[in-house]
Amino acid sequence: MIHELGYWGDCMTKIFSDNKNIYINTITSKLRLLKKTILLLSRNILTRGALIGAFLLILIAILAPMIVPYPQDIADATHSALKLLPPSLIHLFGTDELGRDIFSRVLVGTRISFTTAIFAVGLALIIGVPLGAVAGTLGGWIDEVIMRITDVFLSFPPLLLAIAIVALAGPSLKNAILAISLSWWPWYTRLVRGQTISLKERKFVQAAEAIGTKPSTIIFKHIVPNTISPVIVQASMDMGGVILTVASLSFLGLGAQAPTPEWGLMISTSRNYFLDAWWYSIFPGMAIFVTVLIFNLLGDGLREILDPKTQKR
Amino acid sequence: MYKYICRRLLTGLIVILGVVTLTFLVTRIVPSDPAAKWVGPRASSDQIAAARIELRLDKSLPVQYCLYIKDLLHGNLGRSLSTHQPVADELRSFIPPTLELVLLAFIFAVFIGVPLGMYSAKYKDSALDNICRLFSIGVVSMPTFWVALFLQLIFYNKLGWLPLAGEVGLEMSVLSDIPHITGMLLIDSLLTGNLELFGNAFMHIILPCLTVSLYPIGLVSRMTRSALLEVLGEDYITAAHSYGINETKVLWEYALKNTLGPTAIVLTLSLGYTLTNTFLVEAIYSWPGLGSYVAKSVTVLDYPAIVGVTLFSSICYILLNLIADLIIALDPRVRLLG
Amino acid sequence: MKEYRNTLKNMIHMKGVGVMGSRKCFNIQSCVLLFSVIFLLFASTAIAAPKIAVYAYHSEPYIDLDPSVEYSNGIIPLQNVYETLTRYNARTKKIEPLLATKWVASSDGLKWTFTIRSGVKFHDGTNLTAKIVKDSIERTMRLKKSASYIWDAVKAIDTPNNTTVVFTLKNPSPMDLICSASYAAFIMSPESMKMDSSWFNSGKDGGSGPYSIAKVQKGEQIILKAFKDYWGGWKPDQFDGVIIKKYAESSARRQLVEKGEAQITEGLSATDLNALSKNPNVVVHADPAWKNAIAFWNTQKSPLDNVNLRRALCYAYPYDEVVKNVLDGRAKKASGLVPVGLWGHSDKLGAPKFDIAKAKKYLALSGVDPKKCKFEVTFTSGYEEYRSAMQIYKTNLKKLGIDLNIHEMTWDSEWERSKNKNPKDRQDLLIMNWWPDYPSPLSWFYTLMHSEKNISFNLSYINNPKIDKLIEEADTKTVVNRKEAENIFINLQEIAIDQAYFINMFDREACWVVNKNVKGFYNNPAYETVVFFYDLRTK
Repeated sequence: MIHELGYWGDCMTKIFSDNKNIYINTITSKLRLLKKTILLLSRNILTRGALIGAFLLILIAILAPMIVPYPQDIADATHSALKLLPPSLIHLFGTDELGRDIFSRVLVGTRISFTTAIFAVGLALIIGVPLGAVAGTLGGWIDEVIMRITDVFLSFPPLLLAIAIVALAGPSLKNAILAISLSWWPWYTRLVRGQTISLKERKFVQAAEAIGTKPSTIIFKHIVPNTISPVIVQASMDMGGVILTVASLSFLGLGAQAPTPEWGLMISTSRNYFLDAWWYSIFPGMAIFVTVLIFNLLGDGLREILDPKTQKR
Repeated sequence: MYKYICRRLLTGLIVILGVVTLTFLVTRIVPSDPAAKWVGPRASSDQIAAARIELRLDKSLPVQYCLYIKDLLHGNLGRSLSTHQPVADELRSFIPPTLELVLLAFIFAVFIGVPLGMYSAKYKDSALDNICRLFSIGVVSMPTFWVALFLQLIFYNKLGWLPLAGEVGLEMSVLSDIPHITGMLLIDSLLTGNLELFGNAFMHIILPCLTVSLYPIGLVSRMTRSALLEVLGEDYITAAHSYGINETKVLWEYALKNTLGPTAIVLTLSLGYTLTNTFLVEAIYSWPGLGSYVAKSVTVLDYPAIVGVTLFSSICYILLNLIADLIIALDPRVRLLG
Repeated sequence: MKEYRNTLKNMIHMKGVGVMGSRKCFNIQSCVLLFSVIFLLFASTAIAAPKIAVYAYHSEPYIDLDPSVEYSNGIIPLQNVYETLTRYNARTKKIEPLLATKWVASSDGLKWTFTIRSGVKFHDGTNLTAKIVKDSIERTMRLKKSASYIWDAVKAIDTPNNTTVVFTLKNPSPMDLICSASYAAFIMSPESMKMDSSWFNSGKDGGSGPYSIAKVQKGEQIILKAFKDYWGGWKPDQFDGVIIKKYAESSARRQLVEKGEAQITEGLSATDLNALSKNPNVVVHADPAWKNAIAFWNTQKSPLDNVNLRRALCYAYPYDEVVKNVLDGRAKKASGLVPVGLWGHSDKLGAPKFDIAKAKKYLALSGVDPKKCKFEVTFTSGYEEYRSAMQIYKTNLKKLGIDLNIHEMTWDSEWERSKNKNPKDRQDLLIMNWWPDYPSPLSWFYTLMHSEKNISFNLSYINNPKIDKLIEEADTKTVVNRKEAENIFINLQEIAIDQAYFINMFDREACWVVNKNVKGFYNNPAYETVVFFYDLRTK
C-alpha cells in the first residue's frame, strides 16, 4: 500500500515535472502518508506510548539547555565541595563527583545522544543505501566487488571495528560517530540490495529502462524511494542500537571526553563511586534504557504495520 | 549444491584476506609506538630502539605485511605487547570460558524466550502480548554493563546470595586442582567427577550468564513471535483447526517446528553482538574470558591482541554465516540462486 | 570448610544429578542458594582468620617473572620471592642489611665492599656465595632490561673470597641505595640464571626469599607458598600462603575487603576510603608515598616559552581544592619536586598557592593575549583524579579567558605525542606520575630536568646547561657529601619553581585497606605497591 502510494507520487512528478503544484501534491501525499502511519501506530498501546515518548524526547533534546535548572553545570562550572549529594528537591538526581547537577546533565545528554544517533545513522544511510542500490541495479562484477567489501566490514564484530577506528583517530565523540557509521553501513547495503533485486523485476522499472532512462535516474528516482520502508524500520531500530554503542564506547573511554555530559561516560565515571552514590549510575542508565526502548518500540511498531505477513491471522 | 558450497568457501577466504589486510593496516597506521608499549612506561630510549628491531618495526611496510601473512599461515598471531605472550596461546586459554558463558546464555535464552514468544503470538494484541513485547524489547534496550553492576550490587552486596566475581571461589582455586580439559570449568568439573567444584563454578556463572543472556532472550522471543505469527496465518494451520485438533497441540507440534529454523539462524547470527556484550561484562565480573582480554587490550591499545581477537571473531562470523546460509539453502522451499 | 564440603555433597545426593534444564531446576537452584547463604556465613568467619593472605590488586600481578627483566607490577611477587643485598626500612628511614650484612665505601666513593650473609639457601637448596651475587648483577647488566641503568656506574665487580663483593665504580655512586632498588637488583640462583623468561613465567623461580612460587595463572593471579628453609626463620602466626589476584573493578576490590574475602587491597577512590574508615572490619592506612603527580608545560611551544605566562598558569591551578575535595585529603600539597619523606625534600620551598589575582597580574606582565591561548592537556586514561582536577582547572582558566581541552589517552600514545619532532605538534601540558627506582631524589632531576638528546622523560623539554651542571655535581656529591648534594637539589627545586616549568599537583599518599586481623602492616615508599608478607602477622 505504501509502496504504491510512493510509486504514484513519483509517477506524478515525472509526468508533470515542471509544474510547481505537483511538488506540493507530492509533499501533501507524503504528509498524508505520515498521518496515516501515526494513526496506525497509535492503535497499539505500546507504540502509542512510544510515539508520545519520542515526541517528548525530541522536545527535551531541542530545548534542553534552556529548561535545565543548572545550565552552568553542563560543562563549565564545578562545585567540588558539593560532590556526590543524594537526590533531593534542589538536585532531583543528586550531584556528581564535581558537584554538578546530574538532572541537568542527563537532560542535556539527550541532545548529545540524539545528535550522535542522527549523524551516525544518517552517515551510514548516505554510504550504504546508494551502494546497495547500485550493486543491485547494475549487477555483475560491480555487485560482486561491493558485496565482498560489505562482507569484510560485516564480519567484524561491530564494537571491535569501532574500537579499531577510534584507536586510529583518537578518542572523541566525533570519531566515535565516524567509527559507528563505518561499521553500520553494510547492513543497509545488504538490505537495499535485496530489495533492489526484487524491484528490478517490477513493471515500472522495466518501463523506465525501455524508454531509455539513464541508470542513475533509475536508481535514485525509482528504486531508492521504494526501498525506503524497510530502511526506515531498520534505521529507527538502529537509532537505539547506535545510542547503546556510543554509550559502550564512552564506557570504554573511547568516545566522549570529560566534561561532556554523555550518558555512557557518566556511567563509566560512576563506577568508582557506585557503592556510595547509586544515583550517579542509575539515572544516566535509565536515560539510555528509556531512550533506546522508545526507539525500539517505534521500530517494532513500524515493522508490524509495514510487513503484510504479520497482519494475517 | 556442491558448487554452491565451494563458491561460498572461496568467497569466505577472500573475505578473511580482506579482514586480515584491514586489521594489519589499522595496526600499522596508528599514531602510537608499539615498541614503547613493549618495553613499558619507564624504559629508556635505548631500550625502545632495541625493541623496535626485535618487533621488526624497522622494516618497510610491504615486508612487514608479508612476514605477517607468513606468520598467520603458521598459526602465529604475534605477541601481546603488554604481556609478551603469544597471542595464539592467550586466545586458546581465554576463549573457552567465554564460549561457556555464551552457550549457557543461549540455552537459557531459548528456554525463556521461546515460551515467551509463543504466548505472545497466541494472545496477539492482548495485555499479555503487550507485556511480553515490552519485556523482550526492554531487555535488548538495556546497557549490559549497567545491568552487570546492578546485579552485583543486589545479589552480592545487599543480599549476599551469589559470589561477586571470578570463575571459581578463592579457597577452591588454592586448595583443589582445577582441571583443564576443555577449559570450560563446568564441563571439566563434571568430566572429572568433582561435584564440589561444579557447584562452586555454577554459583559463579549465574550472574554473568544472566547479564549476557538478556539480549538473546529478547531476540529469541521476538523472533519466535513474528515467525509464529507468520506460520499461524498459513492455510494448513486453519485446516488443522477445522479438523478440531487441540489448540495447544497445534501450537506446539505444528507451528513451533517451523519457527525453530529461523530462530536458530537468528541466534547464530547474533553471536557477534553477544560476543561484543561480553567485552563489557566480563571485566566487571573478573571473568577470565575473551571479553576481559579485549577490554584490557583496548584500554592499553595492545594491537596484536586486538587483531587476534578480531580475526577470531571474523572467522567465526563467516563460518556461522555459511552454516546459516546452508540451513536456509537446505530448505526445499527456497530456490538456490546460482 | 569441611562443613561446607559435607553439606554440598549431601545436597547433590539428595536431589540427584542434573542441575539444569529440567523441571527439577528450580528446586535445586533454591537449595543451592540456601546452602550458599549458609556457606557464606561460615566462610566469612572462616576466611576472617586465614593463614592465606589474599591481596586484591587492580591489574595483572606480573608481566614477566624474570627478575632481571621485569619493570612493572611483577615486583609485587618478586620482592617476596627474591631478595636484594640491602633494603630500605621505612620506619627507621635507613638502608638495612638483607643479603649483605655490612658495607663500607672508600673515601672517594669509587670502591664499595659488601660482606655477604652466610647460611642463606635458595629455594633449590643452593647456598649463597659472593660469586652468585656478582653473576646475578652482571646478568642484569648484560640483558639491559628493566632498570639496569642503575648499574651504569659499575666498572668491575670482584669477589676476593666467598663472602666479599667489591664494586669498583667509574664515578662515585651510592651503591648502598642502588642495591636496595625495587627493580633490577635481585639476586638469583645459578640454575635460574641460565634460563630465559619462558622458564620463569611457567611458575618456577630461583629466589632466596621467604616465599616461593606455587601456581601461576597468566594475567590473573599468582600464588606463593612459604619457603620452610628461609634463613630468617618462621613464627607460628605468619602467613603460609599468599594469593595476589587481579580484580579490575574497584567496587569489586572494595566489596571483597569489606566482606573479609581479601585481606589487603589498594587503589580505591577517596570516597571508598571514607566509607571504609567507618567499617570496623578493616583498617585504612594512608601513608606518605614517594610518588607525586607532576604536570609538565611544553616550554618549547609558544606562548608557553614565556615564563610569566607559565607563572600565571601555575597560580591558576586549584592546589587546595584538588587535595581537599577531589582526593578527600588523601594526598599532600607538594612542596617542590621531591615528595615528603625522601631526603632532598624541603618544606621551606613553600607549597604553591592558588591565587587568581597573582595569575591575572602575571598574565598581564607576560603580554600574551589570553584569547590566543587554547591549551591541550594530556594524561593517561583511568586516572579519575586527573580528570576531575583538570575539569576544575579548566573552569579556573576560563576566568582568565584561557581555553583548556582535556584529552585522555593511553600512556604510549601520550608519550608518542610528546616525542614529536616539531614542538608545535606536541601537547601543551602533560601529567605524569613519578617515583624513584632507588631511594634517591636524583631521579626527578636527572630524568625530568636534564637535557636529552632523544626525548625520554624530560617532557618540559628543559635545555639549560647551568641546570645540567648542577645536577651532575649533586650526583657526584651524593656519596661524599650528602648534605651538600641535598642543598644542590633544593636549589634546583627553587629554580624549577621560579621558572614555572611544572605544576607540582600533589604528593600522593599510599592508601591501603587491610583486614583488622592482619597485624604488622606498614607502607614502604621505596617499594611501590609491594607488600612484604613475611612481616605480617595474623591470628
